[in-house]
Amino acid sequence: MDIDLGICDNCGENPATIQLTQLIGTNERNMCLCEECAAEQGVSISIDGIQLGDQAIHFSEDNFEEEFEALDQELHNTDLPSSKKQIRLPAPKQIEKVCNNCGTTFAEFRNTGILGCAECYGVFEDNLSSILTQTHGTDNYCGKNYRDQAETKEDINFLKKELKVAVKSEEFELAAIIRDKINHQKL
Amino acid sequence: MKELRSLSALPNWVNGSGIDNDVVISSTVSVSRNLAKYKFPDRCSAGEKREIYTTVSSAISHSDSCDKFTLYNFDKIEKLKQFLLIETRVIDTHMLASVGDRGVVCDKKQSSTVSINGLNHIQIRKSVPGFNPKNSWNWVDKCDNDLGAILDYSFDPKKGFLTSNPKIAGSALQCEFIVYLPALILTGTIDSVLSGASQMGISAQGLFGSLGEVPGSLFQLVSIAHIGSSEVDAISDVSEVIAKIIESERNARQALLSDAKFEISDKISRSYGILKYAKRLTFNELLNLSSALRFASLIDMNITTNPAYYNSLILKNMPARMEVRVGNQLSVQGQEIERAFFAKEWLKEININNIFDWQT
Repeated sequence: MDIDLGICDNCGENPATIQLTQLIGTNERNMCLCEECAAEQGVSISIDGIQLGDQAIHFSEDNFEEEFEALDQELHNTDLPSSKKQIRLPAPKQIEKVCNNCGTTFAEFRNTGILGCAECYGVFEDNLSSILTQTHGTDNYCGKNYRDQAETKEDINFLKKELKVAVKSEEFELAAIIRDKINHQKL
Repeated sequence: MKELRSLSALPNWVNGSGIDNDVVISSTVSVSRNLAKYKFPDRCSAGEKREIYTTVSSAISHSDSCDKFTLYNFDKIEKLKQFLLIETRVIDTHMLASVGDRGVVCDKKQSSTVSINGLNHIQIRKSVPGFNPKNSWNWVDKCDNDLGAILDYSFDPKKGFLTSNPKIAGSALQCEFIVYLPALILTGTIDSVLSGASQMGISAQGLFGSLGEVPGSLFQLVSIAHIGSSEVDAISDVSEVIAKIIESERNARQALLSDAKFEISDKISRSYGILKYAKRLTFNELLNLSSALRFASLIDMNITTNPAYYNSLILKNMPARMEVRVGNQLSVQGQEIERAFFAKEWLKEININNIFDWQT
């Protein structure tokens, strides 16, 4: 998700593409600037590198993150006056998770706390793991075991009887489920 | 009409019997399940909801646990019947608000129920009088096994039973207790007791209204089972905490009796006076005033001690039940007048002997 920085704080005309954060003591001052106004302040960013005052850092796309870390480190180390300029770039584009089975998005889940289907548990697994651990203390199930398929001969016989009853009473949806259970037998 | 009358009959859990019935009015255990084949109810189309409703109600009719139960389809029955079922807490307001085929199957006593297409496809619930969650669990467990044998539940070996709310996934087990805690409120210790319970995973709110106001000193305590426990262990753990709350309440009652007898008898006498002579009563007033008399019965004043009288007074004066009793819908003022009239008649039944002679 791209961050929308709005209109430039300085000229009020161009769209802002650079967010400048100034740390003055413990106060933080944010400014959103267009490229021209940022350049006037001595900051410019291009695909090749960053210009900050009379310091220039060039970087390649491959090791962007490392170079950025290095730049950040340098800023901390340099002997700058009390106002320290810090560069923040817009966050990389995030792809929002969506469950393909029911269409629930992560945003919807975050707002309502409700999932749409069983597959959501797989799609949002990472996010859920912290919820489950937080609420339950662990994420390992210790409750009653469930047999979703016929496992013994008694099971099969029982299911066959139930199937007959269901068909006779024209309970076709139920009959379909029972038939599937018989067909997926573990024997 | 016959169905209205039978629906407005009082449920079993109101009858005041059961263990520790001086503090715990009822215990309820429920489990939630979903069919693997379908999305959770809020995401289903009307057609899918119909299929789920038909499938589950068919499965229920095959189960011995639900013999002679009655099925109510909320998409078809009139609003008055829906409210009658809400008043006994068989279903919650989510069922009212949602659409499509949904409903509940209940026994004659409205104590053992299976709801269909609420927040999950299936919720199996049983309420019993007094403090006895194990009793509820026995039936719920059996019914769950019956239905699970012929249906195909949504289940994951590591996560357990999958529900629309991931916070209850796992055992998907919920314990609820309706409790009466007047002494803890009067002695100002209710907050610390409930905060202790909250640390142990039990949330509390007023049975009627929010936590800020607790008319009738009636609370609903709810606990959700942890994924990391078996169902039986979870119920045991919860029971321990409830037992502590019961003990605290009884100690507080003893303390009041030894330190504040005169103040209490004054409060009780005033409540009696209003109940006897008022021409109109709001529901909250009825709760608070009758609570004073219920309290009197628990501290050996000369008054009927059977909790059933106090429980039934409350239920019978909720809007839907009043409408069935009176035969037509009442305005708010009409309800208040009817309540006051009913309370006067009720006082005659509860056998108050020389309440004013109680020695301080």
